[in-house]
Amino acid sequence: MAEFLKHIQGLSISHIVRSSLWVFPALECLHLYSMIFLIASVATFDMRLMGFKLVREAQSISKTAGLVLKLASICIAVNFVTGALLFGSKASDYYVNWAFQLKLLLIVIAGAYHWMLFKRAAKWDEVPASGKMSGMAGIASLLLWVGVIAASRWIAFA
Amino acid sequence: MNYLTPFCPATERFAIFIMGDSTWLFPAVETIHLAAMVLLVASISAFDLRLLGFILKGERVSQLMRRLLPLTWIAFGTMAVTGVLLFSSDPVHKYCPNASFQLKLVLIALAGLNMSLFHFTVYRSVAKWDTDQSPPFWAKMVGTISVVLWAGVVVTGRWIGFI
Repeated sequence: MAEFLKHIQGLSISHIVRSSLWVFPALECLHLYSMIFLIASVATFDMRLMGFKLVREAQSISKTAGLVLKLASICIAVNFVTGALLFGSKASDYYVNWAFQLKLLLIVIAGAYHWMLFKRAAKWDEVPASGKMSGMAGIASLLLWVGVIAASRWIAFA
Repeated sequence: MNYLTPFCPATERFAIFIMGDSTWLFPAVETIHLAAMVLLVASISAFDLRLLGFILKGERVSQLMRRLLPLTWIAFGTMAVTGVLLFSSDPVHKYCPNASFQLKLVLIALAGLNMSLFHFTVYRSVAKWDTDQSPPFWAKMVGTISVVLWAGVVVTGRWIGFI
């Protein structure tokens, strides 16, 4: 693993991110800006699950899921690419950082969790009385994402 | 010396009182600041993109405003409180002389001005274009300026830590 991390860090793109004065901050800003819309779109879905309708257009839970998935996919792609570049610049440091490890773990959990929610979204359309269950599901998701923000912020303090 | 200098001594005393020398309080407050930022920027951008005619085209502009504005204000209040706490952790040496922080405050003020102007001019005639899929030119202008300014606030906010 140590060899692999060293290899990533040795790539010319990693060198550019590391040595330039503005590339690293610029990537982080893009990562942060994209995160806003990733979490917001997912949260919109969570709020809908909890029965909070933001717009008329997205009445059904499955339709909300469809709209959210489109925006969220773009953001996931941006966050993945910028995140990978940021990681590559100091791979060995990030790899041993407990906050970074926690962040990845939370993202994997959140990803699996939402994949499950989206698959079940259609079912919830037919059973509108599942208020309590879907509400709990929404709150759990919001907490997960606040956890991702917290872990991300803690990387620099760990 | 800049426009923030007069506020520094008082906030520093406040900071020592509130934040002390805790190592985890700063990132904890920053996490709340960031979570509120998601709500603030997303709720504003959603409305801006409706003004531009990109999303939620079937929604009445006035209804979207009524639904989103309370969220925006909750988020703004949270950001203001946590922001003052973060600022007061080291106002004299870290924040007041920081060019990115100074620019961030200016951008927030401009975004506020843009929003107020919108309310008192373009938005007054909203009844005429409430259901338009593509709102009038000046509404689009306000939406564009708002998206750009808030993106600038995010960028300058992050950049504080880099200079």
